[in-house]
Amino acid sequence: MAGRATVSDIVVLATTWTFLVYSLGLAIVYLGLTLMASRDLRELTLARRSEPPNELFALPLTPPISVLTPAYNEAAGIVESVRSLLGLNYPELEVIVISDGSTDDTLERLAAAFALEPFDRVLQDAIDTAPVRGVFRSQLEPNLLVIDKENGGKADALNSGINASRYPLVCSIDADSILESDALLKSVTPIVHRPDLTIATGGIVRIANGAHFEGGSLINTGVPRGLLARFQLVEYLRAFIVGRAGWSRLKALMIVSGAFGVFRRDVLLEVGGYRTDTVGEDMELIVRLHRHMYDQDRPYRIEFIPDPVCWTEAPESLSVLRKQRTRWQRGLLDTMRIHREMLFKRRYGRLGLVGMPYFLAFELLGPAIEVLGIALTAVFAWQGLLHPAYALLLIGASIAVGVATSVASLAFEEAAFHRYPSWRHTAMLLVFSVLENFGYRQLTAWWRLVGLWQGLHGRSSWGAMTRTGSLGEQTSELETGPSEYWALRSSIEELTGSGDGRAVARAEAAATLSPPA
Amino acid sequence: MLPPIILIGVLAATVLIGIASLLALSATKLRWKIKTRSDARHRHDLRVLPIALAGGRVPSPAPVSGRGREVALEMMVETVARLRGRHRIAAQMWFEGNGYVDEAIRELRSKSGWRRAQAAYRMGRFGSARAEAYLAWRLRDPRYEVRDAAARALGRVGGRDAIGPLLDAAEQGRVARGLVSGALLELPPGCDHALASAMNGRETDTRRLIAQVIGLRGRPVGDVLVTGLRDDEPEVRRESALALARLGEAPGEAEIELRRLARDERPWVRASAATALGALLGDRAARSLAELAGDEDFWVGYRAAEALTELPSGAEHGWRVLMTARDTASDRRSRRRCLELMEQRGQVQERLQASVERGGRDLDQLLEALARAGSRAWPDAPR
Repeated sequence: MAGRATVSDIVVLATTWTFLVYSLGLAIVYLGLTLMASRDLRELTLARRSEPPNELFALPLTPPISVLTPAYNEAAGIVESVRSLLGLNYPELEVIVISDGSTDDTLERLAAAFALEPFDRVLQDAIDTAPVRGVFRSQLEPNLLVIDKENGGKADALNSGINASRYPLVCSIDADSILESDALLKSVTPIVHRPDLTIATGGIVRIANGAHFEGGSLINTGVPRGLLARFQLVEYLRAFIVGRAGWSRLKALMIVSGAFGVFRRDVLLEVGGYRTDTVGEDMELIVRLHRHMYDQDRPYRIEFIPDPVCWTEAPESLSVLRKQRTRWQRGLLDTMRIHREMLFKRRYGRLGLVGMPYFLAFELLGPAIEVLGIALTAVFAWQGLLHPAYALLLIGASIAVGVATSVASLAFEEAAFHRYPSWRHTAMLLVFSVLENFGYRQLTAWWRLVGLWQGLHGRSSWGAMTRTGSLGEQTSELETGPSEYWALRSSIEELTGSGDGRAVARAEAAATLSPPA
Repeated sequence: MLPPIILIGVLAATVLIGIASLLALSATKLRWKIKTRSDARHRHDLRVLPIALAGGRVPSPAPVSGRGREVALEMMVETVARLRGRHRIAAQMWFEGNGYVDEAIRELRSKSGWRRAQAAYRMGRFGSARAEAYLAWRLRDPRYEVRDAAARALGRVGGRDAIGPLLDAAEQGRVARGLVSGALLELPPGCDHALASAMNGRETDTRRLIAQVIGLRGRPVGDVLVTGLRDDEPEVRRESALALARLGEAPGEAEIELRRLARDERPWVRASAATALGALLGDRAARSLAELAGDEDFWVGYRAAEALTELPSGAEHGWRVLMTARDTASDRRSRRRCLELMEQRGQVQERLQASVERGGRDLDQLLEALARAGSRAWPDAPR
């Protein structure tokens, strides 16, 4: 290939460079995050000794918490999981189950198990939601409230739960997840210590497949039988332990898992709760919280605590996993779209300068680079543009980077948590963190690419949904709607710049009418 | 094309990192296994220590050095949290005699934050009065974990002198108010009056906190809470009213103040007055509570209804109030009590009878209300 550079040479060079730089970049980010996380995790494991969680339990002023569980056709496990939630180790909590227009007998099973009766609780209408059909309370469990509402999606269900909650803290948890009994206490700890500063905390989510549970509590951990679940186990360890702990340390944590997060209710109301027009409502909410606090110049923390553990069932079939991954990618795309103004803005601190760009390059566009990189390298080798040995070397380097990060995160897990005590389990995890890079990783990258495609074309999950009332600022983020509406908005922005108070007020009043559908 | 040497370099570097991680993983795991095993052995050997404590004797001395010494301390700290009286004194003597208190005082100067926090926590458990000054000093630590641990520990071992530093820490935002309240709650009963007099000249939030703590501590301390009812700040008035409600007794002049608070312009002050009136005046508050039950603010009505159901003679109050109370009371007990009262007084039948006599215009509404209340008096009430 000596001599003049042809177009194909340039293409090959560009592809190989992009691919390699991407792989290396990812490795460097992970290495950085690992270093960031390691200090925190060490402190955490050591600090655990200085305050056992029961110390907090004894505090009469530990803030009470409302646990929100949205349930859509969860008849199979709902009673068990509500019992497990009611039994959590916490001084004062209420459990609010929101049946989001379930069509199976979720509600009937709850009614039978907990002797539900209708209850005229006045629900605040702080956040608009789909109509609530009825509120029920239990004659057996004074801390249980069940809301039956029309279907509006998970975010909408959570919003009506926020409306119904009485306590200053709310915790959102998936109906099919199981919390360890001290998990709530531990995740509230940062809020008790720094109540003015901490607005949200997120816990680690672990894969429940293979672990043994009895009566809603963990008996012992284990490695799942299914191949797919094993791959996901390794993936979760890497993403949660290294990824989130590192981002939290950087003060740029962008996701608190939808499966388990604790929030200050007042701040949730300030930002208007969850957005119902995206499939990635959990991530979008966190980014919006960041944005809200930055915009108002208020100091705050969103903490990731690796210790409280939420166990969740990982999908064991390819089709369910594919749906999950494409949905995650669409959610990510939504969030990046909605908050694209935050990208590269110094105003948004490390989130704007590091967090968002990372998510853009590695999480959103990463799958494309990964899939295209491998495919093109193979094609080039086949066409004779690249020496086959060289192509193998390139792919090998990218895979080696992946293996190294996985093994490093396993070592990390072992140092901090010792959740998988037997050598056999560790060996199994090791084998799978290597195998993961041959097939599974490429498969998920492909699905994510598909999700990205779906998000960009056609299956846009958010249409002209509007929010009114307390969510004035939200309207500015609406992208759809007729041109008159946008003309009106831009005229407001011009007016705001020119400082004509009365005209602004008039135009604002007109604009609070939602854009016509 | 990229020079292959770069690729080989990358490959080699990652393989090295992978191998290093693998080694680290194995080493950590091995260390953990060994440590768990040796700790279990130590715990087995040292089990006589907590057993002696439970018998009220001062246990035999701890190992002088090594991991055993640390394990012995951990076991005793776990045990002492559950002990009271002479058992606890025996533990204190053991900690002091084995030099653990001196070690913790040294650790409070450690460079590592978690070590300082751990030392502060343990000092709270040791129960040595000598720790007080050191802990008060650590309330100014740069790390919040240490300050918090020191505050909690100060509540456990401190006396009157701890109140000032704790309140200062809360006012200066060094320790969260919730934690300071927790610490103040744990101070010995002898500190009640010192705490009450600390209310003078403090910030609004601190006065509120003190009122709350006095209520939670559950021992009346003169008329400081009545003064709180007259405070300029509504938050302090509210907290004082709630504290009086918790105490369940108050000097005579509190009544006038509470009745005044029941007319306060702020609904949350009126709600606290409703709770306090019900708890302190008993049946004498019935009239005021019935008025408050119809308050325009939901929460005032709710609290008043709740208080009404708790009155000794709740049955004397009218159907409407009871129904309001029944529908708004937050817990099962209150709701059940309303129903019982209604049924005891035969008011259910009376009402239905009266309705039928009047031509049954409100009969549907009544039946519906009864069905909702799950009344036994009208078993055939349509659901």
